[in-house]
Amino acid sequence: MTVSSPAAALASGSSRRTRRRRDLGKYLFILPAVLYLLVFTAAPLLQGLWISFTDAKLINPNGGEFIGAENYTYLFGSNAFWDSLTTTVVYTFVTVVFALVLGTAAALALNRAFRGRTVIRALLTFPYAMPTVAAALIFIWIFNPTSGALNKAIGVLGIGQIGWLTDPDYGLTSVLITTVWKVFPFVMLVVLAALQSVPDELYEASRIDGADGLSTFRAVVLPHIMPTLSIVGLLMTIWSIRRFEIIYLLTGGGPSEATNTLVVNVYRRAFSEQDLGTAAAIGILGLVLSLVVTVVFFLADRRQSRREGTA
Amino acid sequence: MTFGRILGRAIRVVTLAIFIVFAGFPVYWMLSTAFSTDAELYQTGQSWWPRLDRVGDIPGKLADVPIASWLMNSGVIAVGTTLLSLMLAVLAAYALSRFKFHGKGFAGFLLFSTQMLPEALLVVPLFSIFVTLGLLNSLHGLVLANTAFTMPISVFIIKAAIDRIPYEIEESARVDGCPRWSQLSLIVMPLILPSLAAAAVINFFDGWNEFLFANTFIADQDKWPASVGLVSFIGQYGTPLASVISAAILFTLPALIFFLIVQRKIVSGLTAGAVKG
Amino acid sequence: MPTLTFDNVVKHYGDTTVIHDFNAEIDDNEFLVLLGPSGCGKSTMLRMIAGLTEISSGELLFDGEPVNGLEPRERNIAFVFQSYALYPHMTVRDNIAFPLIMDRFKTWHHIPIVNALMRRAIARRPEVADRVDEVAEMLELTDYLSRRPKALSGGQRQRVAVARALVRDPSIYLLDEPLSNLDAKLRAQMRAEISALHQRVGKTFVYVTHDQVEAMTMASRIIVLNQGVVQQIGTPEEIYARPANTFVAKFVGSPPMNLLDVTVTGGRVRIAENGQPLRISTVPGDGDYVLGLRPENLSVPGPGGENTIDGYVRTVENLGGETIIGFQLPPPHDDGTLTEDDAPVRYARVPGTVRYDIGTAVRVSVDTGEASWFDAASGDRMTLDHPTLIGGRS
Repeated sequence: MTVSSPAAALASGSSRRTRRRRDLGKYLFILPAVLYLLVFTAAPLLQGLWISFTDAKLINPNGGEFIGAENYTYLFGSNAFWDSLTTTVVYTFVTVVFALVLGTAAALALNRAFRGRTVIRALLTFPYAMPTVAAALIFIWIFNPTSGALNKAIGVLGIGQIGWLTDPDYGLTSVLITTVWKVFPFVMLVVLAALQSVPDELYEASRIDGADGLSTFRAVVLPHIMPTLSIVGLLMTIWSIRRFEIIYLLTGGGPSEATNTLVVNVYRRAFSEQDLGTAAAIGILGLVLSLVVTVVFFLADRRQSRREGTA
Repeated sequence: MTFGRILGRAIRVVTLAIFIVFAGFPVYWMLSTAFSTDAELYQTGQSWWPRLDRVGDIPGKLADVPIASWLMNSGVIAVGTTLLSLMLAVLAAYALSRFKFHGKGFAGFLLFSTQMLPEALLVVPLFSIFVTLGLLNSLHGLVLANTAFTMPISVFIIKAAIDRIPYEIEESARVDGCPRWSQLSLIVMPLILPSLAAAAVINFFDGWNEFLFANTFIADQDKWPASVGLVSFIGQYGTPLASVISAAILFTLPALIFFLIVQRKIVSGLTAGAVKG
Repeated sequence: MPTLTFDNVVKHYGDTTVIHDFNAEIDDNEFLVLLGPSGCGKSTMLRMIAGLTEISSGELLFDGEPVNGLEPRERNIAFVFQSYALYPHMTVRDNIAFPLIMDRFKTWHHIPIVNALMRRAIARRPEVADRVDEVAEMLELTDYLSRRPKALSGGQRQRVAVARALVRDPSIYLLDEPLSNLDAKLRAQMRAEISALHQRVGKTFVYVTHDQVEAMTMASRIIVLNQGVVQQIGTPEEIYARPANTFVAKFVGSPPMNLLDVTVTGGRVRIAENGQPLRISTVPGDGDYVLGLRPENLSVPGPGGENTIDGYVRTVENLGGETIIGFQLPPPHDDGTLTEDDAPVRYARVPGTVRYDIGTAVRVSVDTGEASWFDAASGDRMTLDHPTLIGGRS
């Protein structure tokens, strides 16, 4: 650094000062968002973590006494908790698989241009666009045991009436149907966009090679949309672990805890049974599950790229 | 036309038909239900063709349900969420796109990780924070809570748009004597209007549909947004179902319209990140 | 004004040094060209002059005053980007007016919405509008003032970029490869226009390019850069006739200077490639060197005489007024195919139209009067202080 003359010294000094002023300006841009998130998500999360180690009750959320990992040990020993976890896993798995399959099938069917495609595509996105509350209302009516559309339809077919939302054997199924109905358009839209980014030359080359539709799909299309499918799969998984409204509105966690996923469990524990400490513990465990899934995904993704040589 | 082609097309047609029935039936059923009388609904069977001739009855039916004030509340919450979320998001997206600074990685991680948090877990601590801040039972409190969850998505979309703008244009403005802040507002923002619109719609959508926080934090019935109001009818049979469903249709319409308008933009914004992994 | 002084200017990014110890003094009203291949640091240098990139160490002085910490606006410079960087959402008029508008903005004018309104208001003021019209007329853009950049051709966009630079009457004009996005014909035309502009405006121009034709035709002085190191500073004539090292020799000139590895023993010169002797009056002491000969110093077929090189025709490019003959020293393969990449091609510039078949053996006459000598190891130019006359020793 040449600081040879007083004038030069002054100049470099001012450069340091203006640089620091400029840096401060940068922080002003990002700070509002960061502070906001820290206050409204990070802080509650930490507080939730703290609460999970206390015996807090709803009446006095901050008044819990520290009880160490008692909530957690209780949960690990509770059948109800493990059932809840199983329900969550089953719910997540079935939702993701069906949503991926249906969404991809719909996207494939929409991939070729035809008259009225825009209209049909818009129609197929209605379930996703509809507010969850409205969807819940109409599905409750459809599932109504005496006058609902479903039971009327199967009545015509000679099958007996099913308590879609009241029979423990069918509760989860009904919730799954509603969920898949609601979310498959998201998969469809994303996969459709990915499909449309397959370069035409690949299709043409495949046709020249004499491949039929199915082989083309397997050799050309599937590899191209694989990255998209896996990301969408991850998103769907995390969202399924989180999903609350549909389940709560349709069944409230019942019948007989059949649809009591982790998050529904959290809500009920906190607001019905007023047991905040345990509720928070369940919530933390649900979060851990999401984290584990994400980590596994990224590890698998990295291993895959390494194998392909694209790491 | 080869057999394969005919078969392919047939499969596609059949598939689409099935999907249309699957996706469309509940929507269509809403229409049918809204136009049916209680007698039809519970005894004789509702008509398979929505009785649109009964449109004139709708205002009467809706009178059973304070849908107007509910929708107003939903609107206030949705608009508030959108404005606040966008303001924060534009600033953050610009910073993440253009600046190098300590803690940039941390900020990015923070934004991304909030997507994983279940609202159900945060409801309780947020409840106590709101108690402390006196934000309970208020629409603006809801706006604050919603923004925390919708802002990161907006940042994602807006940042992707800003990334696509060549940085030289801002440098040129800098040479012309334009300070950072005006570079963002005069130069960059006019160029990312489509993405701003898409982010605005997603935020509006989230604010409009939101149920959990509204249900937990709002006590006064007159402050209920439509989502909470409609849920209050579940399990109670005092109000005619047709009225409830009519109200639900009104609640759904804006969301549907908005979604249709920006469908394409949303997907391109989502896939930009998704395909790149 | 001003004079530009570079005092040990260095730039690094992390551990990599991109510009090494740059020292230069540029006078008033010069047309300085920073010339070099891609990645040599010339654009970085330009941006440091502008204030867009920070100087890691050393000083940059305008008229003797250090400007290291000053913002671009405070340096009173104008910058024409390679991609023109026009504001896509503004009309040509608004683009050109923008610097003037920014000059007139007070702090509170920057509030959102207010800034958009003020921008429009100030653009309408006569002092601004008149100046824009004046500059637009100078660059023949008057008919395009209400168009948006995307409705303009490449040449028109470039002129808008120049207009925007002109409008504030800065003291230094910085241009970053402004012609590289234009087709050849337009480029030739714009070269002349930029030179004319420089004459008219009477200010210092610093121009970055990798095209040595642009440099040679427009510059009053050229700084040749390679990998962040200054190779030579000089006028176009100096650089052409007396290149400071083999890099400059090869870079400037089209076709480039021919470089031959030669050995001097006892005052006699032999071409290393095939042992052919050359008679040169002034030679350095014994050793290995690189001999540089410009294509115009070689002729095919020669008038005979003392120095001839035997070669085989490789390429013939007929440019109308002259022909460039590329030849190689070793003979082609037995089967007639040329030895491809191993043999370097040498070029001779011959007036008029000459035809040869590929592979023909030719005699190339060499005029060694203006030969350049370079050290074999460093590539640096050698001045022959102690020339050896043939037959003698230094």
